[in-house]
Amino acid sequence: MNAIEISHLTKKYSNGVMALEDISFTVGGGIFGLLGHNGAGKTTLMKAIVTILRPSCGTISVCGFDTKKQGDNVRSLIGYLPQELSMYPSLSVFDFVSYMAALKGVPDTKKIQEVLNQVGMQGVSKRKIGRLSGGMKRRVGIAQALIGDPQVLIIDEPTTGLDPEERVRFRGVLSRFAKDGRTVLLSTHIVEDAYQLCDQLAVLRKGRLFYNGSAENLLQKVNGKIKLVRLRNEEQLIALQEQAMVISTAYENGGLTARIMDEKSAFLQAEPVTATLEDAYIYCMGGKSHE
Amino acid sequence: MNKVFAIVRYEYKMQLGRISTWGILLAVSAIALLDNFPSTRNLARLEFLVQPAYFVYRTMCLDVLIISFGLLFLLSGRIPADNKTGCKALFMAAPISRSQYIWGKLFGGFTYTLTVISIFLILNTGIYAVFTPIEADAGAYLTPLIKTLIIGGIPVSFFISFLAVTLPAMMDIRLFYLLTAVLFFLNAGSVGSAEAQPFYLVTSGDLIKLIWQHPRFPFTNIWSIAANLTFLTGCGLLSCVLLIMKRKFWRAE
Repeated sequence: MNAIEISHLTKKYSNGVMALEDISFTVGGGIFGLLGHNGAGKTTLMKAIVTILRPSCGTISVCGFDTKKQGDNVRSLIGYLPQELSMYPSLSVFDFVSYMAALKGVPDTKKIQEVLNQVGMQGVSKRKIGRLSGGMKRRVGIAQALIGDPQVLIIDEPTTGLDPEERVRFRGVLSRFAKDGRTVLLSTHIVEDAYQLCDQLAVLRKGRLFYNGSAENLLQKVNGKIKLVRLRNEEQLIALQEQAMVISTAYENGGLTARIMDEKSAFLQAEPVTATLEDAYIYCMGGKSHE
Repeated sequence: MNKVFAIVRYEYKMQLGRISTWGILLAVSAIALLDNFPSTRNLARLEFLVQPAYFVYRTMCLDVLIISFGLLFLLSGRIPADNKTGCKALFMAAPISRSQYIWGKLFGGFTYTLTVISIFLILNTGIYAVFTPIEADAGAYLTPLIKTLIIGGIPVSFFISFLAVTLPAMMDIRLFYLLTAVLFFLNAGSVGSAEAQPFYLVTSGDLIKLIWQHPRFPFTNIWSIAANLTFLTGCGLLSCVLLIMKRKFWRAE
């Protein structure tokens, strides 16, 4: 059984904004990445999965339970870390996690200590949340999501604003969680995180599902199409942008180097380079120049 | 039920852990002592200050009004703060219901308000008992104190906490502050009168006169007391019902 099954999901807000349109995909075990730029619909989709938002059409099931009809079952199986979580500054780390544990029906001090150990917060469990760094707060956030031994972890933009060390630590926590067949649905717009962590990916673009599959397959889509073009000045760059999708530019030796997506093999003189997941992502998003 | 208790427990702990709670308590205690301390000057100024029951009544009418509105402002951000901090999303994604969340927040606020008002009254009555030149047995202090906590403390805490928790979840918090400021000044203008009082007074209505009565106005108007009690409890309950019935407050189920 798939951990999450989404079928023809549509969410239209009362102000007429179509946040999600006819989304269908499934998520098995392991870490599944949800990519997309800001406003693509990632947070809306996650809120619908954790039963906070009701879809306009379509269905979502989590471990076989329908989110509309069996919301209580779904909520008892999931751990959720929202994108913006600043928590209660006057509570200690231990008290905050205990609070969330009590809401999930896990009033076991030993279990709370265990999750604090997992995220490396055992040494500061008595410290007030208001006195923690951004990275530590995110770790408390993941600790409260891990409490109650959930089958599915829904994590919305967990590494935004974290320093590289904290990001690596975060990846470690998520990898350990997913190791024994449990599921992590991770939304991000940091391609590096998705590349390092996720076996499977979905890319959302303007509320629609643009890609669903493995990271390797996504790379295949752009393999051989990424090239470097050397330019003398910005006028040439402007002209190039008319003809090709420019992924990035770098200024060097008095000139410019543009990394382009050469879909029609029109730039024969350009130097082919190995594609990265970031290239593939930008391709999915319609290119830098189109943003 | 355990989940409601969990919310009550942590709401209570969070509020009592705020320095501003203790700051308000100490500041209002200082004001109360300036006004009611049994010094020679105050005893000469206030005819009935020699009576412990009058001291407690006066503290309830005037100083509890100030502390109540201080607590009201501290409590008023509870639900908007959950929205702002992302904690509301955690509550909604947890296996708890809308009513568990609301009752937890309300009773957390209620127990907190009642605790602070009780500490304030006990502290000030204790200071009065130690420094008053009048000799009286413990019962002379305890009886009006217990009476005040039951007759005044519970309904006032109910009114203040329920309104402070629910209304800002349904209206712009600036409008809430404006309305409560109006209510405060209406109350502050009517404290301590021996004559019949309007029903909408929070700490100095006819209900509070059950603690101590002016010897020249020894009348008890049951209807006025009932109206005052109904106002305090009814407003609290109404605001709670409105929040429970509010659409789009909780996840759609």
